[in-house]
Amino acid sequence: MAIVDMQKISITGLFKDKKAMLTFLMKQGVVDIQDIPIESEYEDVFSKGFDKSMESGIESDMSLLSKAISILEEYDKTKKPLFKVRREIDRKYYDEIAKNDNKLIRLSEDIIKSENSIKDFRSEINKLENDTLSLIPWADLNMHISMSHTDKVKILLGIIPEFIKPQTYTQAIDEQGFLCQIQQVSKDRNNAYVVVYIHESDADKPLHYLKSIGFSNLEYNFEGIPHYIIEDNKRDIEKLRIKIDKAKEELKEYASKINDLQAAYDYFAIKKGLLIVDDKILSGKYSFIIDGWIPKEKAQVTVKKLDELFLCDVTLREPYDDEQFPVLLKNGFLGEAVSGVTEMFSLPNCREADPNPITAVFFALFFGMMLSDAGYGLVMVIACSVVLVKFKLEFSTRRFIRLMLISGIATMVVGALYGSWFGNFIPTILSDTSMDIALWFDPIKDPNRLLMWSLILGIIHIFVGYGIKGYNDIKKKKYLDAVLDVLPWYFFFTTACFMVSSYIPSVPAGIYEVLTPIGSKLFPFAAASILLTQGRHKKGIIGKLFGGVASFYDLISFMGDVLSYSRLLAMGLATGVIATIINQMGSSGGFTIIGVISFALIFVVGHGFNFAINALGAYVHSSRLQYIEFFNKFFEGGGTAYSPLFEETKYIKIKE
Amino acid sequence: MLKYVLENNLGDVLAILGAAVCFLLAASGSAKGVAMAGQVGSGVVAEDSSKFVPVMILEALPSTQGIYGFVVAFMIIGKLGGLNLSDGMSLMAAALPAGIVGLISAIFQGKVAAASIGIVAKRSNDMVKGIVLTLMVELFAIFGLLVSILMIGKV
Repeated sequence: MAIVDMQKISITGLFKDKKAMLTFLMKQGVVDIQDIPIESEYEDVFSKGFDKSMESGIESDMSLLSKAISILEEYDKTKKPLFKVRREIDRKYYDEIAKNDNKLIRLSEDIIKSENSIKDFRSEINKLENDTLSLIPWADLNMHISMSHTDKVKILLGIIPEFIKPQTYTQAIDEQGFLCQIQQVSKDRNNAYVVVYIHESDADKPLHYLKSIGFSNLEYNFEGIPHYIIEDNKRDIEKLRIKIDKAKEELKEYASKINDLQAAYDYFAIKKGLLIVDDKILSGKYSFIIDGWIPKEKAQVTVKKLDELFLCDVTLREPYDDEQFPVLLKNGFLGEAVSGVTEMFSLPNCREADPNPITAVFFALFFGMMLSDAGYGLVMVIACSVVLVKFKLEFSTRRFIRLMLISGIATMVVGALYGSWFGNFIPTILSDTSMDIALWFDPIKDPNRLLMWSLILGIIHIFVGYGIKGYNDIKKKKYLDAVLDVLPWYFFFTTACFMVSSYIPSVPAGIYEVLTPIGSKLFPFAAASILLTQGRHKKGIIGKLFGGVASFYDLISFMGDVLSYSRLLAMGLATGVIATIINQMGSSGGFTIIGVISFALIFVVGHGFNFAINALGAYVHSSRLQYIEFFNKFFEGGGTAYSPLFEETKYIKIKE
Repeated sequence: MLKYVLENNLGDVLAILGAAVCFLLAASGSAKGVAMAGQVGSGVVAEDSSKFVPVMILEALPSTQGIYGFVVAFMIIGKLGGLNLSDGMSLMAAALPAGIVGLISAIFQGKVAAASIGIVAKRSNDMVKGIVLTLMVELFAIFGLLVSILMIGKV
């Protein structure tokens, strides 16, 4: 449970050391450099900012590289791991890459060029294929397709609808004595492809007649005899295909360089990080000033190293009481696992307690109660353990898998308590569905009892929330608030719960007969304590009283919050009932070979589906219970994340 | 007529009717809700396929009402067999909260889910806020389910 303490570090150094020092700080990766505003009297002494043209130069290099990388990813046939991790490389190798950056940029230009040429070849092939397609009807034409006339004769290419038979028009032409001849070259389903020869002396009438039978003229932009053009196109396409294959081969060879390109990309990313940090640093003619936050535990070492390496002045100081510093969380296994869920809500601010470890416990517990099946939990535990042991994972993936691991353990425990192992699988295969293997009780048989426990857990969860609020007040040294914002509420809610205890199903008569009178007697005192304490920040007696009265409304929202925990029962029942139905369907085939096979199939598919939908539900509902019911009670949030100057990379991780 | 009904344990028929109505209403509500969210979602995925997972999660949220209807129907079916008339009518009445609240809340939840997919389209990081907003509607379906279960428990 810890937000790491920070110290403010101010470094004043010689301008000639600036680049070296920033590189050093980046390698250390501990200082979160803050923007220093320039005061007007120093405007002519110091300046900020960096060379924008250099930035855009780096960015264009990066976009070249990333384009080349994405091209090569298609050709890279090495096996990809299931979870993406940054590759670890030696500093030596990295420096080698840095030296050869120009070469690698040129390489990626080549790669992009070959990819573009492949695209060009493809579109050329496309064009040739289209040409061929349009020429195929004319394949049997033994003259130049572009020939439009001889000395005396006009030549037209065109189509006539297929249903008009050649006899029809030859007869018509004969009868009317046109100087015209029609030769059919080929036909397809709709059209006949024809060549029309017309003597120039009398061209209009035959043309008119042809129009009337649906002739339409086609013109082509090709040179030569169709048959040969088609042949040529085929040959060209073949050549282009070979060229494409060659370019692909080339890219496949380049694919082995993908690691270098990725490293180069990260080299430029680091370079950019070094460049743009100048926006926050004051630079003068001879000196520069860096201001930033550093984790307390690393401060001394860093200062010592800085003193050894550079001629500079370094001062450290604790943050002022009202100063916000960036938030870095340091947690054990539990807290770290759930921190992703918390961060989606908000990062705690630097003055409050880190809620992660407690949240983790409740998150897992509620997840377990909603998924509530020991079999599913077992599957989760095994799968997550295998992933954690076998694979290298990035931080955010690892913490998610860990969260699923603890949630799986909780699911297993709760499932065993409810007696649910893949629903009622065990009683089903032993053909004794009345068997009860629950360690505690089976909620399907007694939902009211689980409802009671869900609500009780809800009350505990909310009370813990108020408790953290008190802890935060103590941390801020507001001791009066710590007492008055927490204890009256505990008192008030507890008496209210005692009063209504008889209405909650499954509460034994012996208990509520004792609790209800206590609650009724104490409730007025509790209400008075709320009335007197909760309006204390308002002005004037009346304001204070009204403030107190208004806080009674919180009782309503408290009741609403508690009832909201009934989802623990509802979601748990949903999982259990569906699992039972799946087992029932599966076992209906009886103990025959076919029955067993169909049971196996239904088991895998059905439970797979049930697990997926309910695990998703458990995850989002468990998160929701933290966000709305729990965090609402104490969480201020709004912290800025600690983001030190470090080697921020996408593909590689540099090892010393 | 009344004598015939009373003598012939028509309670079973009424209970089955209740189970059917409960599932029909809740599941069709879920179908409508999921479909509404899905239509918006596929538009977002068409623009940016990396948003498939958050969109899928949001789209799945209105499907729970159908599951609740299923659970209630199943619990009623478990009670069948020689029910008398009053038990049958009670079961039919008990089916209604999960069914009707499920129908209406699933449709409204679908609307919120569709709108929340709009949040994801603009800022992937705010998916959780969309989920929380969508889950606000879910609470009433959960209450419907609970009321139904508690009532069935008393029959």
